[in-house]
Amino acid sequence: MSAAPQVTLESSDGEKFKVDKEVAERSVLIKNMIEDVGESDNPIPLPNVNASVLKKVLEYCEHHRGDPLPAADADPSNDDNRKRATEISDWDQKFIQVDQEMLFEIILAANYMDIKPLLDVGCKTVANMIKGKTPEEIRKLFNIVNDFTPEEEAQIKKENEWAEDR
Amino acid sequence: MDLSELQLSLSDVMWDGSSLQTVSASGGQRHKKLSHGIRRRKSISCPIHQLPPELLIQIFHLGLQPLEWSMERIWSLARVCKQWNSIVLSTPSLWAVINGTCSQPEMEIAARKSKGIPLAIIYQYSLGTPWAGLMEVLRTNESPWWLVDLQAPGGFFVWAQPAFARPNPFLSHIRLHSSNSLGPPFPWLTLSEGCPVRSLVLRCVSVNWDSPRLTGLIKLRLSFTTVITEARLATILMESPLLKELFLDSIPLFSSPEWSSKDAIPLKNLQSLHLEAVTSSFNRILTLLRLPSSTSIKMERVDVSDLTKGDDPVLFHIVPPALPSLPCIRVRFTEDRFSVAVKPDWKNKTRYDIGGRHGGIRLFSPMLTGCWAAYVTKLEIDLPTNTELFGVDAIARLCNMESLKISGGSWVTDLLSSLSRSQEPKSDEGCWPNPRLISLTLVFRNAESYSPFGTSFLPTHASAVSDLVQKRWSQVADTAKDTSRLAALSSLVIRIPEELSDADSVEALASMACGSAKVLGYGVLRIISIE
Repeated sequence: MSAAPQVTLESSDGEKFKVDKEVAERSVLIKNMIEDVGESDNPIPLPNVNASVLKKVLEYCEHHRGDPLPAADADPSNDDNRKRATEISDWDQKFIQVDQEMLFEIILAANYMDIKPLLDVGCKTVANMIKGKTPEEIRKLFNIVNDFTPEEEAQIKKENEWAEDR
Repeated sequence: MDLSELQLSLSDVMWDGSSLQTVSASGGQRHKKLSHGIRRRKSISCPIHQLPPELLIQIFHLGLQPLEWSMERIWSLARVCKQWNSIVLSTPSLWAVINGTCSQPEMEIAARKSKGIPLAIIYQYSLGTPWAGLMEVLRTNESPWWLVDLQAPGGFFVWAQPAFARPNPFLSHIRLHSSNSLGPPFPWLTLSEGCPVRSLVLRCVSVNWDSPRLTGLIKLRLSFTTVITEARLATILMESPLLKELFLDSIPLFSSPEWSSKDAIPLKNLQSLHLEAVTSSFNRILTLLRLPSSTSIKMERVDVSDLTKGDDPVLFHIVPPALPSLPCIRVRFTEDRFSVAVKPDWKNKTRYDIGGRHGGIRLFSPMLTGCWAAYVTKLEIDLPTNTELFGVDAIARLCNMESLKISGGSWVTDLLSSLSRSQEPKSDEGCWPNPRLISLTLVFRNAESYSPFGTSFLPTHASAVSDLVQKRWSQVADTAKDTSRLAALSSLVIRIPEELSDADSVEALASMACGSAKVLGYGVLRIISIE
């Protein structure tokens, strides 16, 4: 039996990863690159993804290698899946339990490499973290600085005062 | 200038506290500017600020799904920082929800900020929630809708109908739930020709079926008094090749005598078919369905006996035998079918109609005798009734069965006996009884807590289990090299009432447990007490 075809990916910091083509092609970016350039022994450069993040991304792709690919023409605003907005499977939940810096790196990498299911998992995780929190709690969670001037804050409060009165 | 330099500069300014008291206006300005600079730098350095606006919008959308949308949530996001504020206020799609439980001013703000893009209209009635504000907002706003999700009493639908009588060229998701019947059916929502409806869920509400073609339907759920003709439903199914889910519950399908189509309705993408209390008027359509991708078929209180007769029953053609894609059939008899007729206070039930035209028994036996047998790998039966009509032998011939769970009455012993056939069958008897069976669960429940036909665990049951284990699986052990013909059991679960009725039962249970463990091996048998 012949071995599954493989490709080599090169992270921004020069580390090389040899993976099954089927796994790498979970990324639409890589799939398109292979289609455009043809099969080659040269590593595929991923200048926006460092080695530690790429390793995580490939772990996800390996686990989901057999899953059906999302429809290319899916309209996200109308997609039924959006109604189950923040549900994440058990494995994915465990996979995405990482520190915030890695979480956002994974989201950026999934966006860059065009891996929609992984991007969804990342975004849902952040959405779940935000859900039900006050602005102050959100700031604290993500270390965001309140950069409103007192005047601006008063103005925003005024705009939604009936929302607060409810 | 990096962060450390900014902090050093700020320290310079703050170094002499007394001189700061008298610092000039320009010094104050510098201090303010540097503080602001530090705040900005710190903000930029936090990880979430790496995300570009389009990803933040995607995240915000996930937290603001129409059914969860509230003004409080959206303002919580807008008040976090300047960047988020700017994104929230400049993204109309985040505001495009008219939630009837919000106040009228809130709804008006949302409508205004959504800037004309298609809206989601949501209203979930709870006591004391007025709907006049919603009607006024809908009347004065001309934005199209992409989703309408209303759950309210019948009175709402009658009263609000004028506000919803408008063309809906973008409507893709519709869910209308009336909590009570609207009386004589009338077309409540107008579907425009060509509107891209993907999900249509109606309960006790009717829509105008006559004009539009619904070619993009993915999900169709109709329940209770959603009156539709046989011919129209057939046309909808025929025109919906993308349909993945079809659920029909208690709909009075008007027969169309003039309709005589014999063309198959191929629903290649349909995964789930669920029929409940659908009258036999649906059978003509059922006959035409072709469901090669189905993974779940449920029928409850449906009489399909006409379709299962003969050597080549009609149901055989619905799921072709070449595509055994159906992993599970579940037939469940709901408790509310039992009533005072047997025992006045028995769970306060009011109806008892086993054996009637919707009786599960009549459909179940022929259904399993032939056409579907090849596809069933997992069967759960919960039939708390007598079993004279029940197809025990049919169950025993389900050749792909891997998992069988039986909850119920005295007929369990008949089934165990049928399964325990010890000799290889003759050719005219079909295959071995459940040759692939690896998991068997038996549930015994007292009549008081289950049904008039329920049965506790009796010595005879213990004997039947022992007999089955000895006759069937001891032979497997003897012919271990040929397990492809008769699989070994990996799980035998027996659930019994918490208190057994007598000492004989306890003794029989213990004896059965010891004997079975010797044959099956330890770790296969589990006896669980039902609380």
